[in-house]
Amino acid sequence: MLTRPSDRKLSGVFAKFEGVVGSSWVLTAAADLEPYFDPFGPGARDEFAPAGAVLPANVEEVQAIVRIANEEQVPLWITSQGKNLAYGGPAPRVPGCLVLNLRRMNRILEINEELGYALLEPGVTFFELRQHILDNDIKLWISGPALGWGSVVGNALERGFGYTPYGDHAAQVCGMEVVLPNGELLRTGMGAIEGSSSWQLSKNGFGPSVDGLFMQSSLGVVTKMGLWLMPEPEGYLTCTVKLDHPEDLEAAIEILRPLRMNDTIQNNAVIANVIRMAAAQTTRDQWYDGPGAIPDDVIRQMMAKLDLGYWNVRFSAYGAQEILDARLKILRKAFEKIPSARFSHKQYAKGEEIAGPDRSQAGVPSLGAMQIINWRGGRGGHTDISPISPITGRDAMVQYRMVRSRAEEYGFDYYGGFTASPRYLNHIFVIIYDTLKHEEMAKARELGTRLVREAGAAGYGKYRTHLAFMDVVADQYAFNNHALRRFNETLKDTLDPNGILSPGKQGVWPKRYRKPS
Amino acid sequence: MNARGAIIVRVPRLKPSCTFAAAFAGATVIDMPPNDDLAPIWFGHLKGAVERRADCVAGVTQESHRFMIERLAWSVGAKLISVGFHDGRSNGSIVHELMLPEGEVSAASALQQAGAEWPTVVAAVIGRWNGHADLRQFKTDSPMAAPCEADTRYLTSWLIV
Repeated sequence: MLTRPSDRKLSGVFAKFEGVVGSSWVLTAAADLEPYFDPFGPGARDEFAPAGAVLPANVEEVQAIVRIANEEQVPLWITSQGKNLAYGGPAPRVPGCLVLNLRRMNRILEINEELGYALLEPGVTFFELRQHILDNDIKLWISGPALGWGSVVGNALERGFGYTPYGDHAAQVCGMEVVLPNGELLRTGMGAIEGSSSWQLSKNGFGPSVDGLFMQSSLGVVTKMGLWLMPEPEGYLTCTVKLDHPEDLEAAIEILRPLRMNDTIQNNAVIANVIRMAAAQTTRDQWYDGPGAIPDDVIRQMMAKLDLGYWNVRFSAYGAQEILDARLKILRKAFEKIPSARFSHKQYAKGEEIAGPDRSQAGVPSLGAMQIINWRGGRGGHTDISPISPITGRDAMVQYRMVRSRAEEYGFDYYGGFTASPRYLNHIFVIIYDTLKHEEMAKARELGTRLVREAGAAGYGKYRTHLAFMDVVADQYAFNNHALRRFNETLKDTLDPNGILSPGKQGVWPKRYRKPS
Repeated sequence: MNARGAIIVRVPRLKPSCTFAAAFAGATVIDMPPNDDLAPIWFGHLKGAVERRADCVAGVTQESHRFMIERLAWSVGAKLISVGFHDGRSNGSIVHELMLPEGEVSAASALQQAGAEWPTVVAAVIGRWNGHADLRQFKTDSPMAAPCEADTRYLTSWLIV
């Protein structure tokens, strides 16, 4: 079923699309489609190959394209900036999909400083949003992910996260405009009131909340989104704790949890292992060029030479000087209970220039995090395995041991860490490989699949995944004979009976693609 | 490339990157920040130049820089050409894998003889680049006097057209 539409069919569709957006914005030539392939995919390039791309400029054009796709029964894969790297980038799950690329829809429609929100189109990047805020002297902060070139809307829809107190990006979403699979336009929440005064203020409309249906979803094309922004704080405190032993993780998480839950630590704390830190400044062969994963004695050399802990914990607090001073005292005292802990901090007043490594917790977007693809050399790429677990020391150690031992069995280094929200940990393990080495990529894929299954069997689910793992991740969400999948399929079949929007996304397949049960 | 000005992206910590930049007399040289955050130089210098197609942009850098610049160039409708991979091995040789225009066959042998001066040869090839469509793959293995330094591993040469 996963076959490309015929060339004849496609040429007819392209002609209709050109009638909507103009010929410049329908891309069909191989060279023009290169940006729509997944650069890091752990598999054959054609497995997720698009057949074309169409770039609308406004909502009406999106509606027209969706209606044509229905008439012609051709699938569309929705993307905006296409920077969901490690999870497939802009590439479609089904080969032969036409990419509906929203990057031309890049207007910042409103920023309300008084009430702390923005209304955005999906093509707006983190860089553009921040620049607009600076240019207009707006006293709000954004929260950005590791790389700032992606779409603000796309990242929130994929449940991405950042490093300020507003770092749970999906949780900041307030009100959407969505083109449904039949081309109809929907506004969610208070936006359903004509001339609504509080579309971006209250998430609670009237009746069932539907915003979540459009996250990691194939049920609509989000064309506008409200997003809450953080008022610029009076000051900012960032702390680092270096811990020397792998088993220190357990104590660190036990200390972190209450401090996250009572809001002493106000952002997503990040716990990075030594390899993750070393890969930001060196390449693997500078340390080790032998077979298998990097041995422990070499890891200890890394720690000594780069002045790193085995675990390196970062977290922050925000507010007036007096409050930050009090928080600092509490935080230092708490972490210094771990014998190996080396605690340091930096404090910034409002308006003060923030040093490079401290910027992400202040919502300053950058492009520094891409260095990791140099780690193994060649044409580097990576895919991320990111299971969710309770924020307990025991769970963190189970996760760490499970993933590290399996990674090393496959010859990969454990490049990992945890992002700590108040109630759960997001364990991010990055499998780095050379995309020119097919054997290495095949091993990465096998490792990823195995980790997903083993995590699922232990009660841990992934929150986000590469196209190649979407089905196996969805398989793990199996309670009551896959009731969640059946519910998602019912929604899909009802709202998108022709299965034209992002078929297969997150393992949700339209009826015409499903095997008979 | 001759008819237009040149902007060279230099990574100061990489000796070959500096050698490459030095080969372009009169070019504007933009240094990659030490933390490799490309954003200030892209938004501050490169984006406008690439958008206007006023200058050619080229460099010998690590793969991460090439990858990001390629994608940023696409976002303004330009294209990055990967000219070569250059990998200095601990056994004392540099392997060059190149995509060169037909007329540049001699460059492949020049590279083999160039040793540590290989970036100068690559700079000459890029300096002569003029919209070539047919590229051929070459691979050479150039012996060095001593084992290669860490800053010669896994480098790429590229230009934006």
